[in-house]
Amino acid sequence: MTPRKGYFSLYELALLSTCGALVFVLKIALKVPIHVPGHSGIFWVIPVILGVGIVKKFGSGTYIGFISGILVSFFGMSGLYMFDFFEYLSMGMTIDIIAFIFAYALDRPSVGFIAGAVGNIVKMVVNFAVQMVFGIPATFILIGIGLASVTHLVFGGLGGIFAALVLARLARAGVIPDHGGE
Amino acid sequence: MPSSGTDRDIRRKIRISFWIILLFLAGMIVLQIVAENLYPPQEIENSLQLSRNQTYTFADFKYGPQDWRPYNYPLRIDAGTAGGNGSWYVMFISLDGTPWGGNPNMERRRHLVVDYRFENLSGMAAFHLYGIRKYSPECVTNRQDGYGTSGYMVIGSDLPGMPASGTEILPGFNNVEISLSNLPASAISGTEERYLLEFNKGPASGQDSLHFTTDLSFRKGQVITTPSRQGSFYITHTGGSPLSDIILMVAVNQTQPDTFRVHITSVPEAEDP
Repeated sequence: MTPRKGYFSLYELALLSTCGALVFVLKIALKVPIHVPGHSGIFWVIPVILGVGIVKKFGSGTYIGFISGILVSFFGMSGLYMFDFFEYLSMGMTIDIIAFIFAYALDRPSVGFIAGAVGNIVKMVVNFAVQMVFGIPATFILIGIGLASVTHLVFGGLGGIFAALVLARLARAGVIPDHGGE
Repeated sequence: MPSSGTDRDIRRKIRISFWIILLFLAGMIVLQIVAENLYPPQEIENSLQLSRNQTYTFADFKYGPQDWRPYNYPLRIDAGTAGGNGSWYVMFISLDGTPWGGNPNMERRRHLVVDYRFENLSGMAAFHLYGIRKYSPECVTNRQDGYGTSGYMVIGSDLPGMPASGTEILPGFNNVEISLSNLPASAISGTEERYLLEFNKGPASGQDSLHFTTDLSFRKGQVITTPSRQGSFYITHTGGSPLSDIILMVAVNQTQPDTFRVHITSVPEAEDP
C-alpha cells in the first residue's frame, strides 16, 4: 500500500510555513514610526507573494495567511488579538486568487503590484469590518477610508513589486521555473 | 516562456485589474468626502468636547502612603525631584476627552488642557498620567527617565493636616485594578468605575506616548516643578495607538489640612492639521 500523497509536498509545506513565520517576524522586527496606515504592507506582502510564486499551487497563499494569522493572534502582537487571524487569512486568500487569475505570473512587477496592493487593501477592509463589529462608529472609519485605501495600495503595491523582482531574479538564476517577467 | 496568447491574456487582465483598483480607490475617496460632508470634523469634535470641572478634598485620596506608582515595575512618584518623604497619598481621576497623536501630516491632532488650583497645599503634589489604549487593554504612562521625560510637580507651603484614615496601599504595581475618585459619565448609574492598569507589552514599553508640557512646541514633554498653586498644563500624545481614556494620578507627599482643595478642569482642544 502506497502512502497517500498530500496536496503540498514536504518541501512546499516547509517553504510556506517559513514564509508565514517570516510575515510574523517582519511585523514585529521592522517598526517604521511613520504612522501612515498600511505602511507595514511594504514588508509583509513580500514573503506571501514569494511563497505563492515559488510553490504555484492554489491554496499556498491561504496557508501562509493561516500560519501568520495564527502566530500574530496567539502572540497578541496587534490590537485585535485573535481577530487578527481573519485579516491575515483573507490577505493570503486574496493573493491566492490574484495569482490564480494571472496564471502565477507573479514575477511580473505589474502583477506583483496588483497582488500586493489588493492583498493589503483586503486586509484593511477586514480590519475595518472587525472594528465595526466591536462597535467603533462607522463615521470614524469612513472619514479616513479614502486616504487609508490609497496608502494601503501604495505600500502593498511597492512590496509586491519588490517580491516580483526577487521572483524574476530567482527564475533567471534557474532556482524556480520561469514564467517570463516583463 | 509563456505563449504570446497567454502573454496577451495576462496583459489584458492587468489592464482590467488596474481599472478595477482605480474604480475602488475613487469609490473610497468619494465615500470619505461624503462622510466628511455628512459629519464635518467640527461636529464630531463638538460631540466629543466635554469639560470636567471638579473639586477634590484630601478624603478623595484613596491610596497610600507609598512612594511608587503602577507600571511594569514600580516607578518612584517623586523621581527626578529633590525633597519628599516618600509617603505619598494617591488618587486617580478620569479626564474628559483624550489627546490624539499619530502622524501630524496625516491626522488631526488634539491635546488636553488641564487647569488646576490648589488651596492650602502642604508639601508637594505630583501629577502623573495613565492612558488606556482603545483597541487593547494595554496602558501607557509618562516617562520618568531618559529622553522624553515629563512630569508636573507643585510645591506647597501650608502645614500638614491630621493623619489620613481609610487609605490603602495599592495591591500591586502591575495588572492592578484602581478605583477612581470621580465617576465617568458612563457610570452615573451608581456603579463604581474601576480601571485595570496593565503593562505587559515589554519591559520598558508604554512610556513614550503620553506627556506633560506647558509649551506645545515641546510635544515630547517637559519636567515642570513650580511653586504656583494655580496653573495649567497640556497633555500631549505622540503615539500611534489611539487612547480611550486618560487617567490623571494626583499624589501629595504630606497629610493635608481639612481646608485642602484641588480644583481640576480638563478640556480637549483640537489642533489645526
